[in-house]
Amino acid sequence: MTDTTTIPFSTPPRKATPVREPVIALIGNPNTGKTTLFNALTGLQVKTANYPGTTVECRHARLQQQGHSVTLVDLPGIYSLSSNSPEEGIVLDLLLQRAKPPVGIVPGPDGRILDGMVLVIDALRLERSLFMATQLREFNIPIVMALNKMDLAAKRGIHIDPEQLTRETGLPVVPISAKLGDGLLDLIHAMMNGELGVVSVPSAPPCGSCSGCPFQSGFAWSCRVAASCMRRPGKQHSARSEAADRFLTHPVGGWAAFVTVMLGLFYLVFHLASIPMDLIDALFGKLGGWIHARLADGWLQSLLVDGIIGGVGGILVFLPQIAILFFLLALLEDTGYLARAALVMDRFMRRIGLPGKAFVPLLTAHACAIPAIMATRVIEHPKDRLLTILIAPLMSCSARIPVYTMLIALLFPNDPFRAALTFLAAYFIGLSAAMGVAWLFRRTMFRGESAPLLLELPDFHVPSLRTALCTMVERSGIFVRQAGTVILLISMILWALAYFPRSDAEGAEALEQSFAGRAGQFMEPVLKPLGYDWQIGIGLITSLAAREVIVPTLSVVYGVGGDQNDDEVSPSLLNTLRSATRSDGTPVFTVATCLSLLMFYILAAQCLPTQVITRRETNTWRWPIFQFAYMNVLAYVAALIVYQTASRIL
Amino acid sequence: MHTFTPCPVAPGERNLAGCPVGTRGWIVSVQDGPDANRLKAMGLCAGHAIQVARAGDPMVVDIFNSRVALARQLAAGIGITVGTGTFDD
Repeated sequence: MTDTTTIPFSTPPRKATPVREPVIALIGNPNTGKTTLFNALTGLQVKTANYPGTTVECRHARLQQQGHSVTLVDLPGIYSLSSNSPEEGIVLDLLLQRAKPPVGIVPGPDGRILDGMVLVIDALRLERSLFMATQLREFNIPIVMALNKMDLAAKRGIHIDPEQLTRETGLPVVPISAKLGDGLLDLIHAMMNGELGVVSVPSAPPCGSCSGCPFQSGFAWSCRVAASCMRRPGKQHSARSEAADRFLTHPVGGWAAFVTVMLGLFYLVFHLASIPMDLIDALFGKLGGWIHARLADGWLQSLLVDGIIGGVGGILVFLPQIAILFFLLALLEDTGYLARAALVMDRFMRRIGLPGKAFVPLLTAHACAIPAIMATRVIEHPKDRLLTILIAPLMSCSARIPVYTMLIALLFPNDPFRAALTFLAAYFIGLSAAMGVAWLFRRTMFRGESAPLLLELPDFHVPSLRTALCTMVERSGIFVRQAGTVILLISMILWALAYFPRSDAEGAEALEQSFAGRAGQFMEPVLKPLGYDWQIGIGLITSLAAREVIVPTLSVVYGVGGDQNDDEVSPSLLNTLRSATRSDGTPVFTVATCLSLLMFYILAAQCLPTQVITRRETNTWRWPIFQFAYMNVLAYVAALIVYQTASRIL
Repeated sequence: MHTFTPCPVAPGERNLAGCPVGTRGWIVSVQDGPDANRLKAMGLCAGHAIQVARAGDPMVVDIFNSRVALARQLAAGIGITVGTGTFDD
């Protein structure tokens, strides 16, 4: 087409009606290489959104080739359409063309969403993955079959005749290797030119033992088809993978491997990430300084420097942890190890009412609750997943470290041993609180056991860097979008609370007269039983954006001066805090107050960005509000007990 | 031709949950329950050959050339027949 071509329409198309591209979905079992295929076809331009009204994620992307373009949707991996999981419900609704279209997908004029499907078949497990074809018979959506992992099949001596498979199923068959990129052009060609077929599976034959059972008749068909077009040697699992599996799921060896892998993961997330984190921190610091120097003092300067750069910068600092974590998790998952880890952890985790798969998110929460909550997507059962999301922020995350450091330095200035012990105790209290709360919620709101483990252990293989990179970019993108929208808004609101109403006062006095200061004074009667004065109350409010903000806030309210945006615990801050006194002349930071504040920060939900992510992952404001409420009530009660006990016995 | 290790349990019908590593047989029944369809969809469905790769809780079985981990409570709902002859699948 050239520019001079006239459009053969009598009326020009309205702007509002976008040109609809055919929507083609990838469907198939988990571990068939569906996502690898999706990433190989589409690269990094994936868009993610939840299916409307659900917490199931929809990944889609545009695929342009040979002058055509289609929208490709990666459906969740499923084994059938009959077991009532949320994923299967979504797929069924899409197949019946009755689902609400996900954001970014344009339904046809007749409400049609899917125009075609790519049925991804695992060449190593032909019988089981062909069963999916029997489930797709009634939907009248054209299909092309992508016979994946042909490279591995050849290596294992498995021969499959694609033409025979076409004759048996009525579907065009394209042999591919998503990992090596073989056959992808043929697959694209089949999709773009509408060379799709409709499954010709005989309707369910009468079955002796269980009449009408779709599984028995479906598997009977898939076994017959597989036998007619495949030759393979008897032995399938290699001796090496057998040995690896024996070790990794061994009661002792499995635990040893698990601890080693998790320590490695945690070390990398924590320490490797600290380099880019310091860099981002310094960059935002520089940017703040640059704006500070160029703008006149006033609300605009303060909004930009303290509100936006301080708030959003404070949360974007965690981007490296999130990127590294999701990169490593994707690599680990791809090797096949994570499924074994879930198996090893399953019995242990079940004692507190959680599935084995909850372990990795909960470990991650020790770095930051946000990626932990995002990583709970691996947990299939919705109740189990929600419970894990609710307790994850109780783990001591890295943002609590500056607060712990400050309080422990106040408590034990010259006793490194006791200081270390208190640090350890803080982590332990968070962990035990999470386990206790999980146990309690299991017996109240989430009655019943967690869904029993049923998990395919995928083959071991060398992980794909491409898949891991795609996952990393996607997850980081979600986080950055949240930081740039809702979290930005929260930062600005909290900034305004601490800045307005404006008077001529400076520093501590200005903060005292601000909304946050008035709220702190208003809350003082409630905070008094915990041993806090209104200045600490202000810190509790400003640190809702991020826990570590209490450190610079206290340095302002107690009038240390200097750089407000620095959450380093400086000696001058400690000295000021030590000498700070109440109106009656007694010191503020007594041992009892410090212990009570420490307890409060271990347990409280002092991090609104966590609630923002919980809202994204649960698709309702109900759960983040509940999370915030139960954690703060728990923190309040625990801090009350600590203060009242400590102030009496000490 | 490959070699077969002898099956560690005597032929006959038994419950999958109690079977030691190396047990080979055919599934004869899957108890109805909230997870029955999940099991069947993964191939754990009457008529299919199965082999125990790890005993205990959770146990691991080979079915349809894939490896599936399942909780003991799920395995307890599956009945298998342990055959007498060689097992070829």
